[in-house]
Amino acid sequence: MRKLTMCLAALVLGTTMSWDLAAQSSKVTMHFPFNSQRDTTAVFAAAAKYAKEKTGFDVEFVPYDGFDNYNQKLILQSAAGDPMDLVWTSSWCFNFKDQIAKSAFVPLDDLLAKALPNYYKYVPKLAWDQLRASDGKIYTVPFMEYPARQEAIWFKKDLAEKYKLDVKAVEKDYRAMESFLAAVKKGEPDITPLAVGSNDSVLWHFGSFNPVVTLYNNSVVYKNNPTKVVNSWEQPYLADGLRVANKWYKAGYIRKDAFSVKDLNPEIKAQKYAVGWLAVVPNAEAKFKAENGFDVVIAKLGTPEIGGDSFAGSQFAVSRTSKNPANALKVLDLLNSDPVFYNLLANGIEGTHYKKVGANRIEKIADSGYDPNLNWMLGNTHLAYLLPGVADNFVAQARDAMNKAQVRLYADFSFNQESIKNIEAAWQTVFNEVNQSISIGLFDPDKDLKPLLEKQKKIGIDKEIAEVQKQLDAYLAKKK
Amino acid sequence: MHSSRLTRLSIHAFFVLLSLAMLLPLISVITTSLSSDVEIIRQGGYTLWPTSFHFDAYALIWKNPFQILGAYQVTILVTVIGTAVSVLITAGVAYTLARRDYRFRKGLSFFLFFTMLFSGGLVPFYILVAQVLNWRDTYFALIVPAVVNVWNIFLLRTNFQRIPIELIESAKMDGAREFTILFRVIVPVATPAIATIAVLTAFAYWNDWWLGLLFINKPDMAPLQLLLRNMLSNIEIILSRMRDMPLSLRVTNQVPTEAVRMAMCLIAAGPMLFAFPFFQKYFVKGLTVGAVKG
Repeated sequence: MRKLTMCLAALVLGTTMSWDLAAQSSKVTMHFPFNSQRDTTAVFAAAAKYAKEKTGFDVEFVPYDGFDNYNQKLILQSAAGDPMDLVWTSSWCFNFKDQIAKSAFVPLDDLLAKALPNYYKYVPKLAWDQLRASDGKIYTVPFMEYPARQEAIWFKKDLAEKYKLDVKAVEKDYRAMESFLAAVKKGEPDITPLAVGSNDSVLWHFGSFNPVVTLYNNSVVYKNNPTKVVNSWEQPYLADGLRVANKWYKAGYIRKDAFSVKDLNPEIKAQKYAVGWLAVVPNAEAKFKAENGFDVVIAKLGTPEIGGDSFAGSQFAVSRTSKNPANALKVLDLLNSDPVFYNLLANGIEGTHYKKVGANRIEKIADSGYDPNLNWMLGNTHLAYLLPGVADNFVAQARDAMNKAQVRLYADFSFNQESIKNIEAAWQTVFNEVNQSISIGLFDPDKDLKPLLEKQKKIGIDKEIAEVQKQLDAYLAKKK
Repeated sequence: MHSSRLTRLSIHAFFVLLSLAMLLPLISVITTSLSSDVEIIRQGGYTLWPTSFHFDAYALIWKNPFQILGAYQVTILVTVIGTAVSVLITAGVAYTLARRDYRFRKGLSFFLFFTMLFSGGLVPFYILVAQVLNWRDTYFALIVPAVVNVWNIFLLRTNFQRIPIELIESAKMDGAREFTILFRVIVPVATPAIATIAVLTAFAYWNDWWLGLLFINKPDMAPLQLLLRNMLSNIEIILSRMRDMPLSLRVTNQVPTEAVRMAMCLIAAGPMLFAFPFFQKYFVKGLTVGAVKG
């Protein structure tokens, strides 16, 4: 028995000792979601060798298979204080705001100019400002892609021509497509006019060209009265949007069982719908055709904006367990300013995984064993070699669109939800009850909105509005 | 005793319906794995017999067979070793607890029972296995945390207690030591109960993805169910959070088709599906044997 205890003690001591040794070396680990590839080992080894030559650090890439897997593992590893350096984070997987609230990341303000010199300059100031946490510090390094956000509606081209759709009118007001929907419903028995599913709520689409800016959850301000915070559910624009959705649902423009459709894409590909939503990107029509196999006409809605989601979709942070945050940032800087390093990770090894067909343009080799679709995650997608279908001047286009786009009002306002956490949790419960029926248009605002508002009052929604108002006032006072 | 025709008929009808309720979903999974998504949508729903056979899903999965073969190897190894070790330890502890002449019986029982009610929590558990023991990406992490199931120990103890103490005493008279008594006297008498525990444990190991999710990150160490779970949960997060994703990630064809998902399900569940009937006779005996003798 004593022998066994000694053995165990030795085992424990041994493992902790080997750990301390590892911590002293100039190693940088990089954690990110991935989908396993046959040639991962070879590509990562080549990338690590290149990084060693350029920075002198041993970079270890730690890929995690799949997003949910990454999310679960990283939350746990972060809570347990596992030693990590660079960790990938975002607004939709391994949420950066939650982790900042748990002090999982190192504040980067003092390090950025020194350790991330090239990429710090390349990313526009407004991106850094938008990602400041509610304590005013920068914790994350954003990605660069196509930051201008604009929503659009696609129409199946043959049907749009057949039923003489007025695209210009739809661009002014989406409700103008009602007659088109009615015509499709009548003339095309095999087609459902509107593509709506349980993961694609009409709340986003029918309420998105509204006169307000959302500050937090239910708290919004009107663009023409931007200092007064109000409850979005009490506003006429929202009820109007829901009314239109409900009317179209009742008229059969939306599938009656739309809530059971989780993934719309196979049905869109099977040409079961006439109309749907998408985000504006360069060559959106061609891209849509390449993915779905049919022609569309696109109506762009509103004006391009920059805000919340423009930079938060993919970021890197430095874990608080990192022994040397500056070294970690130096590796990140190389990744986002050196096209060779970036493309090694994004596209693999030249000749094996892709062919160069121009100075800056490549074609992937089919079944080559490395095609992880990582551009967006590594950071600066403007360094990526261009693939077939991407315009030569994509980077110029993206930067131009970004400069022209309007920065959303209060885009750099960051709400600290600490004091109203309970209300947030209670609201999630209340909202989940109606979420499904709202997302497909089953929710009748004239009948169902009143009970919802009463429940909101009960959980103390007014406190949320008041708290947002308080923080907005403080924000405005500081701006002056 | 003759039951009337009507009762017999209704009992038969009930079990026919029950069997169908279990069989039809399985058949539907097989059929879906052999169809194409577009076809399913065009014909307006799922069918029990495919209108035409597509083996694309299986071809796609077997295109890179190393991952699945590797996962099979991990799962089989974990199941076999895990079940053997687990049954050995469970039987040993249960036998000790079943002996009325063991002084610390109550204390040990309470100690075990306590862990059924309270646990240290997820993060300390993780720290222990991943950081202190440093078992990340090893078979230890997949086997050891699940070796002892207190519920199984108590189940077996109750069963052992039904064995008359005279049997043990007479073995002792013949000069048998404790291990001989356990393996040559107790185990043969309690085979059905032990086989039941073995099947339950094997199932638990075969179906486990939780330990893999916590401690395994190397792709070639991932058990089969973890592969399946990662694929399905990945689809879930892609579909539900699409709106917040970077634009270049919103590609419509990154979600595997329904056929691929179902094919994956069959590959992961298959062997157990076929192995179960062979264990079944023990299983039924194991659950009833105590009652008959009692």
